[in-house]
Formats: sequence, structure tokens, C-alpha cells
Amino acid sequence: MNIIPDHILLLAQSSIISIIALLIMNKFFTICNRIVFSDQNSNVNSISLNKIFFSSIIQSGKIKEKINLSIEKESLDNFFNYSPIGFLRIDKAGNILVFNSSILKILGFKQREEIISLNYFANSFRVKENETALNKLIQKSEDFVFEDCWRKQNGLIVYTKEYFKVFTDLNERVKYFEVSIEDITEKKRVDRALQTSEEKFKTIINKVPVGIYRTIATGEIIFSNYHFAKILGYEYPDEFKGRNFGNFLLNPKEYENTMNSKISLKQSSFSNEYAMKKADGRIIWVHETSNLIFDTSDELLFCEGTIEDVTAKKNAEDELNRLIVAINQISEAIVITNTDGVILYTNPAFEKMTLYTFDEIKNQKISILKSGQHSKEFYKKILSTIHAGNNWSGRIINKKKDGLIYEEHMVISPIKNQEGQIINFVAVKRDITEERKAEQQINQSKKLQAIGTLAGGIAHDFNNILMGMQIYTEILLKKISKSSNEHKLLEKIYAAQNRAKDLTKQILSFSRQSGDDLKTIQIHSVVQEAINLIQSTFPLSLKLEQKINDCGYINGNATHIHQIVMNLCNNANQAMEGNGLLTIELEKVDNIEYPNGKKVHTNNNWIKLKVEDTGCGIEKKVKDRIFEPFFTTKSVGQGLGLGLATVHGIVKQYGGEIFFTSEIGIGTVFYLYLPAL
Amino acid sequence: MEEMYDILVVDDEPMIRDGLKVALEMEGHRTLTASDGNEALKIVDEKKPHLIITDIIMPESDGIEVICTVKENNPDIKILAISGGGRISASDHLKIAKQLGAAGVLTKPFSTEELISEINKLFE
Repeated sequence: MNIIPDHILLLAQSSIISIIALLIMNKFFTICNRIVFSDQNSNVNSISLNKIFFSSIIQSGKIKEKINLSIEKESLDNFFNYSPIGFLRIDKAGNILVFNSSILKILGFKQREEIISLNYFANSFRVKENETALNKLIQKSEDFVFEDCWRKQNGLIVYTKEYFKVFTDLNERVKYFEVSIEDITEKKRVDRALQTSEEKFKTIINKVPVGIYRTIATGEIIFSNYHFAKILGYEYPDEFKGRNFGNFLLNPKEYENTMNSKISLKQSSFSNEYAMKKADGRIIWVHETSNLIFDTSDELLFCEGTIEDVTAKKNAEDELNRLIVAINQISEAIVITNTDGVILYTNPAFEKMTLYTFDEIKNQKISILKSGQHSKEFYKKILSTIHAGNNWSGRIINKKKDGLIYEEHMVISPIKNQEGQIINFVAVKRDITEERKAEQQINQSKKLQAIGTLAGGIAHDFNNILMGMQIYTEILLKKISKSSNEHKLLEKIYAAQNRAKDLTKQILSFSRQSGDDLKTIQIHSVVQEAINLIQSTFPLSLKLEQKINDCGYINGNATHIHQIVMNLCNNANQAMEGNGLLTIELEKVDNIEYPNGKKVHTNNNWIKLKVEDTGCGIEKKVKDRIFEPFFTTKSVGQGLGLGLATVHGIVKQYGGEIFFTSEIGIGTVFYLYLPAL
Repeated sequence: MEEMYDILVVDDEPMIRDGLKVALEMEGHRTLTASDGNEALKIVDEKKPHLIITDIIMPESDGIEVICTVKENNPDIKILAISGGGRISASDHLKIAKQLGAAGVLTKPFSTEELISEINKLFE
């Protein structure tokens, strides 16, 4: 980009030439000391000119000077006639007194005689203002420079620049005028062309929707366009002239460092993003493309570039980045597919949930997750819902990469374009396998509680019935002779009543209404006592390992602890069919550790009882039911199914926890946590 | 021969009420019966028995009311509370009864032996 246009240089150049020419012309006139001048080719005037010239030299009487003057006159004469500038000397009335040959060419005269008849002031094409100005100046005897135009003989217009000088006598009366006339037609044309071109350029520069600027090496702005001003909240580009580019940056130091590094690397073109300060103090982000212009000695001359306001884009990018971070950190799995179910995007939580990395699963169909546990109709219903533009939400069983079946809660939403057409589907998934387990546990717990309440209610009435039966039986037993058959029969009734009594007591145990008082007991000695009792019933083929630590005290009932140990050990014995290893451990711990590895820290200390066997294990289908009262896997007559229900009831009555792990063919481990005192 | 006492048996369940009456009379005690708290308190005022054997959960006026009133008006009358449980356990009922002034407690179902032994303990 040129800052000093060529036409201005041209103008300056020609003005200097004109001034020099004028000075020379005056010198020439002085030397000649004559009024009439003419071309060398003119027969009339060249003789008289020479005569006058030489007579003047003779009058001086100095030979040396004469020779010098002669040489000087000749060269000036040549210059006068061959100068591209036309010269005229005119009298007060405008009649031509002297002229050079260039004037003929400029004004389009073919014959010298033609110009003699010309009156300078009678130029009918003279610009009106010039004519008025000339008249005034003539009266004031002042010089005048102006641009004008003439009509050539051939009818064409010639544009001129005229240097009008007034010569006066000692009384300051006008003697004559000298005018040098320069043909500026071509220059005018070039100027106009340049002006048009520059205007076009200016229009383009100011209309482009980017800010354009140029600075010198110090950072001082020497040019900027309207959009540059607009971006920075100013009205006119001129407001930046002389101001430093760095002053408009939020972090000028950073900019300076970047520039210095680019300059030292001689990198001429580069892009960057900066925060800039607007006129009202607001901060905007601009994208800058810079060009560094170096001179031949690699010194920085200019930095020119464009700036574009990218604040909205940057804000949108920042928002997008925030969303991406959120999506990447969210615990819900997110998957985006096209309308054919082809996976386009998954977040890290998806990988965690399904074990498929994005690279593995992209461009795969979402049906890769199908578990085979739903009917075709189930999937059809989902597809018809979402393709109709509606959300679908619900539980679905899917399959992980490793084949593991899991349950998830999923919401699928269609993504529509501006025309309302569905272009993608986004699914948000949450693995609810653990949640479902917890839910099942809660349900199980609620079920047991309900059974307990029911059993408690039944037991009350049942106890009253038993009470009546027992009293009357006892009355009869007292009244009837012990040796009689009736007495024997009554004894059987009485025994049956006692069994019923025990049963209600057990029912009340798991329903936490045993009626037994709880008191401070030393847990390890009670457990040890129970183990010793049960051990005597074990076959020799059953090995027992025990690690019973002194764990202090609990608020409990020795009979309950006996029931717990006996029930768990009996079950273990039966699961191992009398052959295997039974391990019993009792220790004091400060947290509850669940089988899934989750630890729950509480303020309490806990007594942990672990009973482990190497038996047949508990089948998956019955795992959820083992604590239910009257649920048993044993044959009829071998158990009522109240053992584990009773253990569960006691543990819950104590405010403790009970759970187990079991593997078919490997064995079962029961963990009991009772609150320590 | 053990000493004989005037005993009031209070229970809403006729089978228990009547059964206990027979059993106690077989042991030589004089026995009165009432089917709820209100009836019992009237008898107490009139007959002033030595001992009241009362169920806790009864419709209308319950055993707790009997215990409280008797302890207030006739503190010398001994009370044996009996319960088979309900929405809360029998032991909880009986704990409350004991706190309110029942001299002894028995959880249903109990044997006549247990009952006689408990009565004897109360009058030792």
C-alpha cells in the first residue's frame, strides 16, 4: 500500500521543475535585457535578439565577460527554446511580446504568426475565478499561480498550470507580465485516473468487513480503515493516527513478545488472537492476520494487518468448550447417533459404562449393545416413538463389550434441524444395575418388615389361643389320672401346644418382637460358647477354624447370639454335607465393608462375625429369598425356613447389618455387623 | 397349703379369663373376673382383691389404665400384668406395666405352674 501517492510526487516534481524554469527564465531575461524573444528558427526576431544581446555585451566593455556571457546566453537560449514549459511575455493589454517554441506546441499553434495575434487575456476558456483573480492581482501587482485551460486550434482542450508574474517600473506601474505555462493535460488525466483508482481503493478498503491497519516499527498506527475504527468502538480511522497499536490491547506485553519473536524469526506472515479494549472499555477478542514488511537490511519497516471481531465466536467457543468439559465429566453416558442408529459420538462415561472406546464404537450401529433380553416389539416401540419426534425414556437391559449384561435408564431425544427434520438422536444413559440391586434389597427389607408385622399380629392372637388351650389342658391333666389313656392323649396335645408355643416365639424373633430383654453381654464368650455347643454335633469330616477375638460388649441377648451361631453353622454344615471347612471369625472393626467393596464409615464400632463355608453355594434364583420366613430349600421335615429369617430379624433388631456372598460349588460367606458398646 | 388370696382376673379373651379362673380356684384362690378395665375398676372398688391379674391390650379401657388407677387409689393391691404382644412386643408392654407399678409380669402363653410360682413370689 502506497501512502504517498505517485501523482503527488509527480506534482511536486513538476512544480520544482517549473520554479527552476521560471528562475532561469528570469535570469535569461535579465541577461538579455530585452523585451522581444524568439525562436532560433525565426528569421525576424533572432536577428534583433542577437543584435541586442551582443550590443549589450559590447557596451559592458569587458571581453572575458563577453565570452562568458556569450556561452551562458547560448545555453540559456537553448534551454528557453527547448524547455517543455511554454514562456510568454505580454504587455498590459495581453498582447504577446515574447514567446518560446514550446508555447506553440502547448496551445496547438502550427505557425508562429498565429500566436502573435493571440491576446492572453482573451482566452475564452479561462476559468472564471482565475479571470477575476487575475484582474485583481494585476491591479495589486501581485504574482499568481493557477491552473487553467485553453482550447487548442484543433478544438481539443489543454489543461495548463500558469505562473503569472508581474513586472513593474520604479513607480510600481505595470510594465509587462511574464507567464510560464505548463501543459498538465496528461498529468490531469493521470491524476483523475489515480483519483478514481484511489477512491475505488478507499471505498473497497472502507467497505471490507475487516479492520485494516498499518503501523511503523514502533507500533504507531499510520493507517486504519473505518471497520478498524468500528471494531474498536471509534467513529473515524483518523482517531488512531499517531496512537500506538499496543495501547488498544488488553495485554500489550504478550503482543510485544509475539511480535519480537516473529521479527527475530523474520516471519513475515502470521495469525493470532488477542483481547482488545474498546473505546467504552469493553473487552473484545480479535483475530489478527499480520504481515511484517522488512527493508533490504532486514529492518522492520511496517506491520500491516487485518483484525476481525471474533468475540461472539470466541464466546460461543468458550460455551462449547464448557459444554464439552461438562459432557466429558458427567457421570451419565451420552451417545449421539444419526437417524440410522450409527454412532457419531460417545462421551467418556459411555466408555466406562459399556467398556467400548469411542474409536472402537464410532460408526458402529447402536444395536451393538443389544442384550437379547428384549423382544423385537420393545425396540420397535422405541424407534417409532423417537422417529415420531418424541422422547423415549425407560429402563433397558444392554450388554457390555465383555458380554456382561447390565441395566440402564435411558432417555433418547431426537435432534432436529432448523427445518424441523430429525437429523440425530441423543441418548443419555445411567447404569442402574447397582441401583436396582439396592432397590431390590430395600424391597426385600420392606417385605421382611411386612411379614414381621403380620407375623407379630398373628402371634398375638395365636398366643391368646394357645394360652387358653394350655390352661385347659393343664387343668385336665391335673384332674385326670396320670395312668389313664386320656392323660396320655392329653400329654400329646400338651406337647403339640408347646411346639406351637416355640413356633410363635420364633416368628416373634424374626419379626423383632421376641420379647427377650437385651442386656450388656460379652460377645466373644457367648459366640465361643455357641460354637462349642454346635461343634459337638458336627461330624469329624467337617473341619472348623475359628478366630474369635475379644471384642468387648454388645447390647444383646445370649439366646439370640446362640440362635445366630447355631443357625449359620447348621446351614453351613448342611451345605457342605458334613464335609468341608467352616471358618468362623469374630473381630471388632470401625466400619462396615460391603461385598461390593463399598465401605461405610460410621461413628460406631462394629462387631463383625464372619461365617464361611466351602459348601455347595446358594443358587442365584434363591439368593433374594433366603431371609424370607418359611422359605427353605430343605426337604419337608428338615427345616421350617425360619433359621435365616430369625438371624436376620435379630440382627435388624440390634441395629446391625447382614449380607452374604456365595458362589456355586465354592461356598458361602455370611457377614454380620452388630453395634459394639 | 399355700395361702389363699382374692384374685381378680382381667382379660377380654373369655377362654383365658375363664381358664385362669378355674386354674386359680383349683389352687384354692377366690377368683373374680372382668372383661375390660372399666369393669375391673368397679370390682376393685367393691371387693378390694389382694391381687389383680390383668391383660394389657383390651378394648375400651386397657390394662395400663387399670394399673394406673389401682396404684393411685389402692396402692396395696398387687398387680400381675400378662401380655401376648401386639403392634409392639409383649416384653415392651410388660416393661411399661412394670414401670407403672405392676409387681410382676408374664408373657403369654405361660403354664399354670409359672403363674402359681409368680403369685407366690409376689406374696413372699
